[in-house]
Amino acid sequence: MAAGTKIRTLARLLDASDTPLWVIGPAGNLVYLSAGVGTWLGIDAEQLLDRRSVAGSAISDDPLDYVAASMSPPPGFFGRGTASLTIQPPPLGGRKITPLEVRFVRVGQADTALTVAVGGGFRDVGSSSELRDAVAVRQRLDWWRKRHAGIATIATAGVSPAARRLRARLHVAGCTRTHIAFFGPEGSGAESIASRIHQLSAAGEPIVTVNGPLMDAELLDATVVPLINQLASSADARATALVHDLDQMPVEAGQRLAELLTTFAGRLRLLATCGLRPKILSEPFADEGEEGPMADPDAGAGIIPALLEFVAGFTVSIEPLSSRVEDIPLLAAAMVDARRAAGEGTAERLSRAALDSLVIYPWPKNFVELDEAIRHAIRAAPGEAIGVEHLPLAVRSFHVGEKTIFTKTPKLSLDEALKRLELRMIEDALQQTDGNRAEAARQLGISRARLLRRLDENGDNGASDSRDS
Amino acid sequence: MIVNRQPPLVGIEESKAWIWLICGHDQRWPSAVRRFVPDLIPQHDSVEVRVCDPTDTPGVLIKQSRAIVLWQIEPENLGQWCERIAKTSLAHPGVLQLAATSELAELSPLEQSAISELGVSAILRHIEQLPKLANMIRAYFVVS
Repeated sequence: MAAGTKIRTLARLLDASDTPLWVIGPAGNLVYLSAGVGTWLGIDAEQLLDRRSVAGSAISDDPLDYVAASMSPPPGFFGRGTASLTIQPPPLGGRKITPLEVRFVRVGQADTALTVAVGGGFRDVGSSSELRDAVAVRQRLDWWRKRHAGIATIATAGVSPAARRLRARLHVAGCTRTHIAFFGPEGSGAESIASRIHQLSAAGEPIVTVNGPLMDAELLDATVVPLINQLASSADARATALVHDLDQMPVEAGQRLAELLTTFAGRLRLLATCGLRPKILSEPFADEGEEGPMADPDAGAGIIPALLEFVAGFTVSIEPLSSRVEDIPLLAAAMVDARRAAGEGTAERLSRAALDSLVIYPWPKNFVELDEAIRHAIRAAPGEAIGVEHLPLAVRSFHVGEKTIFTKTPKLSLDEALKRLELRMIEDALQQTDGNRAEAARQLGISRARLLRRLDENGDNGASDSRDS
Repeated sequence: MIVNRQPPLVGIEESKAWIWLICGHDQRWPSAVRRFVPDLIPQHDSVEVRVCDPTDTPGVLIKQSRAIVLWQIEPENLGQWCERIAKTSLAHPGVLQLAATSELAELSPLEQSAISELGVSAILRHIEQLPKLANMIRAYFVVS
């Protein structure tokens, strides 16, 4: 077997150059970094050696892992053997790092391929529109990771106003130790976001998870007893209760929770997840006897007023995925990156047809369903791109049908419809009689008092009419 | 006098019905329009989504002073598409024209500015961009 020349001369030249250059091994780890990389990042390049350089692979909180992940090649690289990307590492120690234009080149084939990355100005030509889109998505994801690494739960990725609002709220929530309610539909990922916010705002503080719908007062006491013991043993102790589905919690458990929050005011914190539009119960409960929500199992769940003061202070709304359609490509790409980094598959991007299917599908179970679809797809996809055929059957077979007439009509009760029809006829009669109410009532065959009553109910009886006779 | 008339009662009173024409042969955009159109129209209005051959468009638009036309443009025949857009702008100035490209086709900035000049209000490339036009389309329906 022929041997190459010694590498020492090249290594000396590379170290003397200030151009950043690094090599990623077949396993996705950084195996070489030139001195220029250290200069560019402002750290000792040795610290990055052996770290995973795969998009989305920074699973730990170590900022250097984020930097190593950001130095990975873009989607489509392994198929083409070369690609360019602007690398945007996240800040290190509060210091911003200048983005760097990088050319990636594959050396070797398949399992033994090395990736050589060289900083500098290059120009890619001839790449397909689909790959350019995938690279653009990667750039946006890198920007999101760079700017929002602290709250980087995937649900916050996106460019829609809803995604921007969510990120802004979570940034504030992560800086504040206060009661917080997360409002979102089923599958919105509110639980994982709440856990992340707890880590950011009160790291190390004991937390107990409470399943709201299953609670009664005694079971709640039994669940939170470790927290209560700590809070009772020391006046400085603090704790957090993470309550899932607070709006489904039975009234008596809710009242007990409110008592505990009042008793340990300022020390026991409530993080609660609720539906998008939770039911608010009205007081009193105890005096309502058999008519009250305590007696009616269907009415016995909701947020009681005593808890409202705790959950209304700081709220975070998580919009359903169907109202964040423009974020779906970015969210899906982030999920593909994360799954690929975890070794669940080899696909690194979604084909345009697959993205179209994801965009068209209405996602009734939101982010959780999207994540499950991506998990299914990445396991089914043998190559570098996920196609429509790799998506779950429910997603790829979803069709909007051949319906041609679309009408947007809110739900309306029969009483409301009749009331509005009656009012509309009164309006028409008044117009025909030039505002004469007595004549309008005669035309409609009703009494003048009834006509006035209907106008009163609609708040339209303010102006007097001189021709009322 | 009574002001602020309530919206029409469906089945009892008349409501406006608009036409949304999709001109082209690809199934990508008709599916997207059908999926998102309920979120794009004002309450109480109705929209009829029709797919037609681009050459049939003038005939369909004859009795429509207000309608939305979405052209599925193929860059290789851009000249023909520009001609259709220009003719529609002249013959039906009240029609809202949108341009969409096929799955992987891309218009250059110069081509985009050319069709914008001819009367296209928005150029779409990906179907997820359609909901972003909600404000413009609702405003068009309301003003109409």
